[in-house]
Amino acid sequence: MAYRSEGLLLARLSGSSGGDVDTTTLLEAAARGDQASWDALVERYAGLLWSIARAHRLSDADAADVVQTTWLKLVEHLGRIKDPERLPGWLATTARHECLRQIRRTDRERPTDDQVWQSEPAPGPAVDASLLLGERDAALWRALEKLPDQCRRLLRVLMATPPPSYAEVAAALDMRIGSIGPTRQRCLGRLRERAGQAGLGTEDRA
Amino acid sequence: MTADDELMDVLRAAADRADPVPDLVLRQARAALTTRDLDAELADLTFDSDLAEAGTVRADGEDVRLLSFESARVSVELQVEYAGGRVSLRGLITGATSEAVIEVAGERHTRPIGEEGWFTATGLPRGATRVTVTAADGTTVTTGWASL
Repeated sequence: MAYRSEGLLLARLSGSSGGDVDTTTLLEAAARGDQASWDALVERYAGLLWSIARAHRLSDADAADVVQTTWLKLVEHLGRIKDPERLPGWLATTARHECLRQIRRTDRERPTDDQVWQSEPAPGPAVDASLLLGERDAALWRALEKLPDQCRRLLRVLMATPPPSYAEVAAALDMRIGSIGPTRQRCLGRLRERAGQAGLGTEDRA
Repeated sequence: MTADDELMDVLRAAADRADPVPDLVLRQARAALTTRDLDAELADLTFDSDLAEAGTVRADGEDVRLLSFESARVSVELQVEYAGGRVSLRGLITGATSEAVIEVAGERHTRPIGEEGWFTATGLPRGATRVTVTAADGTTVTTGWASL
């Protein structure tokens, strides 16, 4: 790992406390072609973009396509972004538009192309993701899947690593920032109810 | 820390294990920087029938997707059809001749531009795609990336 570029230092400086200034600096260095700075941006926002795609119930392949298209569009706009502090919002908005377009394309193909459709995996994770979890978390995961769409979508984006800001979540889901806190509270309440019905309460964790 | 924050942390840790960002997705994202071309003029997307308001352009059963890109020198119109999991392109170029280079999924396909400005490419993989042409004055013009 013999990085010698300025990006490594920047990546280290910004690793734990992602502030706006750091994102701006990384973006400027990436626009000059600095790979390590670009890698640091990928590291910071890949989780958010993946979570947005999954929040829209995209398959592995479609989610990968949405995330990669979003990164390619950012490369295309490097040096043209007027307000680098808004990068996370730009990424989230771009990813949301790509998700909606992907969903339209899937709708277009479904009725006309049976052959393709049958050979494609069903939307959503191909394996039951909860198999990778312990009993309690698996129950939570299944309860999450059964929540109304608005709740499942919001919680899945909030589950991104590192935790997204409410401004990023607002851009990702086209919500008002002020509505995210109350909606989160209501949706977590519903999740507790459902998980509790399954006999695996989470109240005792409080 | 509130009970909600704690539950959120539990959920985040679960997502990290059950549905992490795939390694391939991360590798492709890092490699995306190499697609940067500072010398090329960008032809911006000006129309995409899949993004146009539902019902205004595409009627049910109409399978061709239309995209338009414009730069100062060149315009590119793409007609996109999907069949058998592959993509077919029919493109109309104004302001450039010779050949069109189509980039998709790490592949490059070069196609001649006919006298009327048309080119065709079939059997392309799906994914983020762009088309590069050379304008009459020698400037390289590249369309924005569009996921086909």
